[in-house]
Order: sequence, then structure tokens, then C-alpha cells
Amino acid sequence: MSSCSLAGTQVVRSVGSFVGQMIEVVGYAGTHLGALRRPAVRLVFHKQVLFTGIQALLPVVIAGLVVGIALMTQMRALLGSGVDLNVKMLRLVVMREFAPLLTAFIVLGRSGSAMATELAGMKVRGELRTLYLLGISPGDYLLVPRIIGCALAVPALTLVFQFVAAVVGPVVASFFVKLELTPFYLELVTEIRLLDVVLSLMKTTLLGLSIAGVACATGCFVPPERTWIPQAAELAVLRGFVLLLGVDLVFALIHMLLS
Amino acid sequence: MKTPVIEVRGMEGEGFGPLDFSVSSGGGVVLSSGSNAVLDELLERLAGLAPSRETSVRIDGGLPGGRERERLKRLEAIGYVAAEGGLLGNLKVWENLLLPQGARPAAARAVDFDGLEGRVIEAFAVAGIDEARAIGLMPKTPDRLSRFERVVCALVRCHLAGFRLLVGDRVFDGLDTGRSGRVAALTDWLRGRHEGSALLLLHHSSRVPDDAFGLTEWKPVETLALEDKSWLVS
Repeated sequence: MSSCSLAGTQVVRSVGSFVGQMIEVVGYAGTHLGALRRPAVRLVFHKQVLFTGIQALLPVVIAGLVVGIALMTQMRALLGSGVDLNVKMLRLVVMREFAPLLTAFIVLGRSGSAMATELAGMKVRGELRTLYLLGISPGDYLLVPRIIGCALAVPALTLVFQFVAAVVGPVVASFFVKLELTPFYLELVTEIRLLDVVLSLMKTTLLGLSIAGVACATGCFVPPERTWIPQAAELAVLRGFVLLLGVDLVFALIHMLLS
Repeated sequence: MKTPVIEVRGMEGEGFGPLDFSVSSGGGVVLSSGSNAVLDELLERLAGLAPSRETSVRIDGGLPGGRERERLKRLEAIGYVAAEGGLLGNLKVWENLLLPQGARPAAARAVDFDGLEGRVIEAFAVAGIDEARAIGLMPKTPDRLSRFERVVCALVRCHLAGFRLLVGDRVFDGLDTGRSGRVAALTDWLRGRHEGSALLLLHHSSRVPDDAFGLTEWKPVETLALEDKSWLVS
């Protein structure tokens, strides 16, 4: 019993310590936004947006299209031809849940693991110390552009996912099932509320910050040993997965309370 | 009397005994140890990354400790060349060369490119790397460079960024005589280009080199063997 409680205490401590590290790196980025004015930091920021945002467009578009088509055809079979219910389901399931979460999973798998591996590798190779000795703050140079780039990329990618799933998906689905597109789109436009948009932006920004925070904290705080470089990627994905589900749950509760 | 560029008083680490030295402009010091861990520790203490009580390290008149912003500001006086050059692996050579100017807290909004190419080619030429070869190195990542080329690139980076104290961290270790001579020639050349600067070399060996790697421009070059007490730790 005592060994169980000891192990439990250790788990709680390590989780608490990691959450602290994550808040520290995200807080650092939030309070050092001025670093983005420097040319070298801006270059890293542009590379981050390119890698996390633009280069992830294809998988996000494919995922959005598949979800849009699948859901429209399935809903049609389940709910019949009524436009109201189809649109409501689309708004609740795709726009509110699937789009942010699947986009975040794609970004976590691509960029989160890459960031954690890259930072862990830099730590092991002594590049963080080199940055210090060159008079460059590793936090300003490495954390700020990655965290801000990811926090901007995830909402933008989610918008793309939502557009493809809700606008392009029904068009493609209409080739397979009978679907009147004009009333569908009119209903969709009237159904979307400002609160949905605001909460969606907040949620996706928080998901982006969570992915970058987990990846950077994992990469920066691993022991400086070569064996930890691949483990950093695995840890970042695992921790990120749990955290993203947690953020999603929090926003589900907020929606529930507001409705 | 000249103010020392670096002055260390009473520095003691887990792996080395008490250390006192100072270097004035134009001069140099070679610190030697048989343990890489000791040299790593020494470097971190010198930079204020692992501060210790009772120690006084003044770089260009200021203490390297304190808040991060102040510490980084003082570290800008250092031109640092690591054992493997210390170039960032995820940047191309040209990005590495411009990194200090573009990423330091006081960095301008845009890097000044005026005369930059000429300065880079001139410095590479001193190390025996001609213009075509130097330009060929620029788009490569450090992984595709030899150790000698990485060290030369790091010295060129110091030249572009400017420095008061040039720190060479095991840069001569493992280089053959020819390449070591070319690195020494570039290091000597930097002495003339950066008036008022000083040199600090860390060297992995229990034996202090007699000729200070053939450096001729830095005078005097003092050689010190660190008192190794790392065996006490283990």
C-alpha cells in the first residue's frame, strides 16, 4: 500500500513539475513577444509558420474532405433529408469538435514531435550553451517563434478544415446522396453564431499553445543524453494527446454551461 | 595601466582547484585540463551559467552574473568558438554567420549587408579557403562541413559580430599541424582586426602546449594547467 501511494505521489509530482515547465515556457513566450522584431528570430518564426501551417495544409484538407463527405453521407442515412438536423449535426460535431481536435492531432504529430526532437537534439549537442555564450537568449530565439507560430497556425488550419468539411464536403457528397445544396448552405450560414466563432478561435489558439508548450517543455527539459532525443518526440506526442483531450473537454463544458 | 578584458579571482569548481588569472587587451591565456568535464564546468562558470560564491569573474569590466538580460548583454563581448565550431545544426552556414547580429537582444530590425561579403571572403582567405570554396560553403548545413571548416566558420562569425574576448574551446584539439596552423593564422589575423581584444583558449591535455599553438600576434600568451580534482567528485 505504501509503495503504491509512493508511486502515486511520484506520478503526481512529475505531472505537476511538467505542467509547471509548460506554463513557464508558454508564459515566457507570451511575455517576450518583442523578440519577434529581431531578424533572426523572425526567420525562425517564418520557418515555423511554413512548417506547421502551410506544409500541413494538404493533410488537413484531406482530413477535412474525408470527414465532410463521410459525415454528410452518414447523417443523410441516419437523419433523412431534413436540412435543419443535418446542419445542426455538422455544426456541433464537425465544426465544434472534429475540426479543432483532428487539426490539433495532425499538428501534434507533425510539428510537436519535430519541435521536441529538435530542441532535445540542440540541448544534447550543447547548442543551447553556445547560444548563451553568443549573447543570444535561447528562450527568445527558440521558444518565442515556435510557440507563437504554432498558436497562429492551429486556428488558421482549423478554419481551413472547417471550410473544407462544411462547404466542399457536401458538394462532393451530393454526387453520392441526394442533397439540395442551396437550402443547406443558407441554413448553415444562419446557424453559425458569433459565440461559436469566438469560442472556436479561443479553443484552437489554446490547442496551438498546448502543442507548442508541451513540445518545447519536453525538448528543453529532457536530460542532456543522446538516448533522450527520440524519447522526447514520443513523450511530447503522448503528453500532447492527453492535454489536447483535456482542453477539448474544458471547452465542451463551457459550451454546455453557455447553452 | 590597462583594464583587463577578463579577470578571474578565486574561481573554484567541483572539478578544478582555485583559479586566478587576468588577460589584458592584446594578450591571451591557455587553460589546460585532462578532463572535458572540467573544461565544460570552467566555461559555464566563466559565462555565469553556473555561478559560484566567492568567485569574481569580470568580463570587460562587468560581472557575468545577474539577471539574464544583463548577463546576455555582457556575453556579447565574447566571441565564442566551440570544439566542433558551435554552429547550429539546423541553420545553413550563412545563417550561422549572421546569427549574433540578427538574434541578440540589441539586434537591429535588419542585418546590415554593406561590405559583408567582402569581409567574409577576406576572413576565409586568411584560413586558406578561397572565394569559390567559401561561397560553396554558405548554403550547406554544418553537418556537411569538416571540423576544420566548422571552426573557421565560427571564427568568421566572431569576426562579423565583433568581440572583446575571443574564447576558443578546444578548437586546436584534434586538428593536424597544417589545419591547426591555418586556424592559428586566422586567430592571429583577428587580433589585428579587433583592437583591444584578448584571447582565452581552453585546451584538453594534461600537458600545457609550449608554443601556444604557434600564435604570434597575441602577446603575452600565458599558459596555465588547471588543478584537476575531478577524481574527488567521482
